[in-house]
Amino acid sequence: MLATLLGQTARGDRAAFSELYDLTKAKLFGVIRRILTRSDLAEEALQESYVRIWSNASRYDSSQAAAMTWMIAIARNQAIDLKRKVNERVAASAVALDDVTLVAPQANTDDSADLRSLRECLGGLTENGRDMVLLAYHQGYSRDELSARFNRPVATVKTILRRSLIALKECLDGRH
Amino acid sequence: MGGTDFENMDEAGEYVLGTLDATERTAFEARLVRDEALQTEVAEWQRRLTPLDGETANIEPPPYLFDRILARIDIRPANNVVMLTRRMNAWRGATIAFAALAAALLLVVVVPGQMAPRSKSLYVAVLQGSDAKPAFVAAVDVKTKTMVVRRVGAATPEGHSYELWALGGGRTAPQPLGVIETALRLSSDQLGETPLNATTFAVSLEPTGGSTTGAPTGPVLFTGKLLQAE
Repeated sequence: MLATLLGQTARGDRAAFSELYDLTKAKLFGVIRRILTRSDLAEEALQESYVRIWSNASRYDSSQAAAMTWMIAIARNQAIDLKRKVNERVAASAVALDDVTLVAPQANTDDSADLRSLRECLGGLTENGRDMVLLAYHQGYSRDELSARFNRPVATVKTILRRSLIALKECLDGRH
Repeated sequence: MGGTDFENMDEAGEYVLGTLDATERTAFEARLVRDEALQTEVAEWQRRLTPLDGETANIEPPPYLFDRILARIDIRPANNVVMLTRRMNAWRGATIAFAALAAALLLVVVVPGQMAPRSKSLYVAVLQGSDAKPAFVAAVDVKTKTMVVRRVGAATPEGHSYELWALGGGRTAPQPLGVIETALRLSSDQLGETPLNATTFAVSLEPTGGSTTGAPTGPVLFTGKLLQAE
């Protein structure tokens, strides 16, 4: 469905693009809003995401990724790039470390099988590792921000992230 | 190379997570463009982590955003004329850069076999889309009162027609000039008394047979300003 609309969008079909937007905008905006809490920035990131989706639709390869995954990746990239750019400008101003809802390690029965697997594998990480991965993925935390939040040197954060990702990969790929 | 590859694979995870620093991120993206194995690795990481997005709440963006997006991609549905004017201005610089190419293409494409002497009576346009590649070339010869537009780019998508329009030069609305299959020949009288060097050609994507409303109904994909050949 989304893949078909992306294919039509690649051929300049404005109606298909409009439908694609309607079907995906709320998910993409939700993803972006967790990374960019300022609404003007979040709107800018969403706008640029769809400009990219429009102009790169012909590069979408359905054998590589689900359409939604591909679009979310574009949105996360836009949001993270913008967040980094803005952080550079206001480097000194303290970012409020907010109420994060971190995923509980135990699986819920109404989740997708993929999310259940991912939660179980996240549950196998160290607590710091799991929290860092989730803060980075959901809220676009940089290594520097993680370093400040967890009071660990940046190099240590990098090591924890790498180890966590390797463990996550082994756990998830072992399930397929 | 092996060590570098392993480093790349580790970086792919952090790239998707978003935790590479700015320098690493830029360098990684530069490698990503030309490294297919790395692209696959990035896609794998996206697939592994994307289930997390399932627990992110949907949020409706404000309604005005879609108009802004359309404005950015130049396919305003409500007002094609405004969009055309904007596009015309945006492409003016690029089109001038293509004038030399246009002149060269003319000899080959428009008048094969008869090497036209360079003449002040000749006007040319190269119509380009967003990828800046020439899609159509147009030539108007006021001496012979002929006008030729020829497709040099991609074929017409199935179920559609490319339609040619003239804009600018005091026109208040795009003037329809006809559907272009591979080439369109017209009398230059059709362009009327408008100054040719103030005229821009545009090609829109229409249903088969062209627009039935007298105005572009589909996206304007290619534009080019008419310039006097030197």
